[in-house]
Amino acid sequence: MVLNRWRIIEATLLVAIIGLAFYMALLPRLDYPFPLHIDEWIHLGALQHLLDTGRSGGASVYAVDSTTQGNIEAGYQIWLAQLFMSTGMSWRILNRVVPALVLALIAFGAYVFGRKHGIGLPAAFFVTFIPTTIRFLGPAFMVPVALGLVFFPLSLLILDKFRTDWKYLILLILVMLSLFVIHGTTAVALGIVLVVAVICCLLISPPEGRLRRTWLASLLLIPVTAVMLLIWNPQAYLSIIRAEFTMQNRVPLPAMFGIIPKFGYVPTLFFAAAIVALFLKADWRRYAVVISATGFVLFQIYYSKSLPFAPDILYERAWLYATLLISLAAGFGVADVYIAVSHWVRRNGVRVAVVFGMASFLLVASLIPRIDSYKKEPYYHVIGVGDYYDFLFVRECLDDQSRAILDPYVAWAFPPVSGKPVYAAAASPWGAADFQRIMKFFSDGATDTDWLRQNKVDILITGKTLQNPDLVQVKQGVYLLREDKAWPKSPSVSKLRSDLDLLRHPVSLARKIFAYFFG
Amino acid sequence: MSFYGNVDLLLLAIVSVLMLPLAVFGSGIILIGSGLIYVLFCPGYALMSALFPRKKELDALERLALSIGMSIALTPLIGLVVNLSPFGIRIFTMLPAFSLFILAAAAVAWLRRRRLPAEQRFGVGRISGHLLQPGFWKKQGWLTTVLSALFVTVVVATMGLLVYLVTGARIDGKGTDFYLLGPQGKAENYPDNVSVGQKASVVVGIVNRDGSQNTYRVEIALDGETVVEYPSIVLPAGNQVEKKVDFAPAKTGPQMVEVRLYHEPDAKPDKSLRFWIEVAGGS
Repeated sequence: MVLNRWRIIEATLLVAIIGLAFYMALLPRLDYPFPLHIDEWIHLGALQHLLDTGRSGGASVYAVDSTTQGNIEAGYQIWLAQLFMSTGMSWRILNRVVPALVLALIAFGAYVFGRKHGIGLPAAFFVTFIPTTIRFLGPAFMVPVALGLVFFPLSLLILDKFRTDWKYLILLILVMLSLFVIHGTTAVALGIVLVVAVICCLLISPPEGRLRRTWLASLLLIPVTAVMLLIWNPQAYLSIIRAEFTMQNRVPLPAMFGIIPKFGYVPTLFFAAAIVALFLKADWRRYAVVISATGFVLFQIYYSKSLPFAPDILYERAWLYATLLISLAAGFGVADVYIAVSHWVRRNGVRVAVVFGMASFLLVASLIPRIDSYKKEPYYHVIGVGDYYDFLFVRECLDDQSRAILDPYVAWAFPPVSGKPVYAAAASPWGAADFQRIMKFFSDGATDTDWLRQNKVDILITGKTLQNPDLVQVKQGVYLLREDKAWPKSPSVSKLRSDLDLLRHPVSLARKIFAYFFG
Repeated sequence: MSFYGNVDLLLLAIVSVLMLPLAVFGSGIILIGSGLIYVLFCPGYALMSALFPRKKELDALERLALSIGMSIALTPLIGLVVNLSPFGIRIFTMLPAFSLFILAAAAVAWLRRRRLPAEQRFGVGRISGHLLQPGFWKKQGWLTTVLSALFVTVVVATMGLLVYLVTGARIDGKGTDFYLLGPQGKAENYPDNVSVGQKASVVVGIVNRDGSQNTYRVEIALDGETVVEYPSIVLPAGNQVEKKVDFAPAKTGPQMVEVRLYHEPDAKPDKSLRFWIEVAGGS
């Protein structure tokens, strides 16, 4: 048996690209050990709540008297919970590993989809360039939209196989159902891409016989699977749709073309080459990818200029879908350029040199600015190490029924680290009223004990010196309301609190139970 | 039916059965590795094997990619069903539900493979021993051998990066942590109403996060007047101590208790913590 050298080279390059994906996801976290975006903290808080209560809805950990019945991304938190329970990784390790795995899976999926069309490696390479920004998010964050991106190349692969076997429709239905509970916007976007792909296939090279009817039926994929959404959580989705179409909470949109330098000019150029080559090659997959990518880009242009209403969440996330599809299309562009050059160059040795030169150009011209852009992105450093240790102290020393009041812009980090809810949390530019009210409360010395009791707040975290004699300063910046001044608490919960790690250590659990019954 | 043709389904069944005890009692890199395979590969692979038992339906890479994708897709759906149960999503409900799905799909895959001629069935064949046979690498030529070595190097480097992701999540804090607990060592039952001369206690906690050994002094002051001192608390780097400290108020009325921490030989306190007590007359 003789090994195939080209396969070894291809395998080596694929593994190197996966390593690059790990590195790109790690890059923002090299000098900061905590989550980099408020959305990451929110999902960790929801994960904490899910593990504590066993339910994906219920009381919110981020606001008094509010619930998470509208938890439209519960599927993502369930997936994180399953990862947590099965691997034992702490939330901080999950926060590092999940983005790396997700970006690697997106790249791997792009390779598997593209390899039979000669674009596997370049498509996988460009996918690692998908930008991650604090406004548009991205695969380097532990957020559901990043996980949703994994399904794009895989769904195109499934669609490709669907031409020969109807059973692949089952996989598409499962993907859409799941994606609607992981990240609804991504499900809609993927549905649009699949509809475009189905139409391209039916027009250019339709499947034969009964499969053609099955393909026509698959056009109903979005509305049918969207019903799942409405059945599962009608109130949440109807209220979101209402808010999006009535421009509630609308904020100014950032410049559209700011994303192109972050993504890179090299893949954009190859995308342009793929558009030009579209007129020469009648491959339905190529048409599907290029038309979808172009469609999303045109949507961004039209939306930011003239659309008076529409879900701005689709605008914000569409850049991720667009850059992913542009990456796949750029893979076609690289193949087109290589073929064009090969027609001009007849000698094998020169052709190898051209390939080597192109690969080097891709690496240097595209990777260096991309890494530089990643390093310069101003990620959210919500808390410092001191805050972390303060929150950890609260986790270790206080029971489950406590609730904290602190700077609402920092409060996102409190529930995941401490295991306790907060009075309020806010994200700029919203929440200014909450922020001013809480800061005034602290500036006045937090003397209103009745207010604390009524709002079930017994932990105060602030840099200000508080003068309320009903409070005990237990740590620099951490105050507790004395138990006799607080509201009545149930003894059973305070004695035997749920703990993220307790289930994994039955000896500790046994000790806790023994201590509860026998003191 | 050949054992080797179904060893993949057997491994799925073993992983499914062992995952719950492993998740409860296990830890470390073995748990992380097996857990990742369990969540990111097993259910999707079982589903793909059940739906597509034929070899020619999918090649190895397609099967791998779709197994991972479908595993991700199945997890929230199984979780939502478990969420409807009275027990909710717990380690003792979610993992068994997951494993049940894997076992059921693997059983369907086995049945469907049985009905196919042997040459059409997908299955993991005997692990090839070609790579380890003497003379195998001599046949390949120096270039192929070098490329193979490069491939192995890149794989090891990539795995090393993944291990760094897992193990590199350290927090490098500096400075000293200082905190107060009640007399039973919990954040409760802090001294409140005491009598003159009655001993009151708190537990003082110090954590030395500096890179070197430190010596501390703890003082307790009542209304600004130092009443007791605990000098020369030596703490090596990275260590923590919790020490019960006592004080007895000498006069009546409301008083502020201040617990101060000094880095010896500094004269100014590094940190101080405060609370109030009400002192009644002695009996």
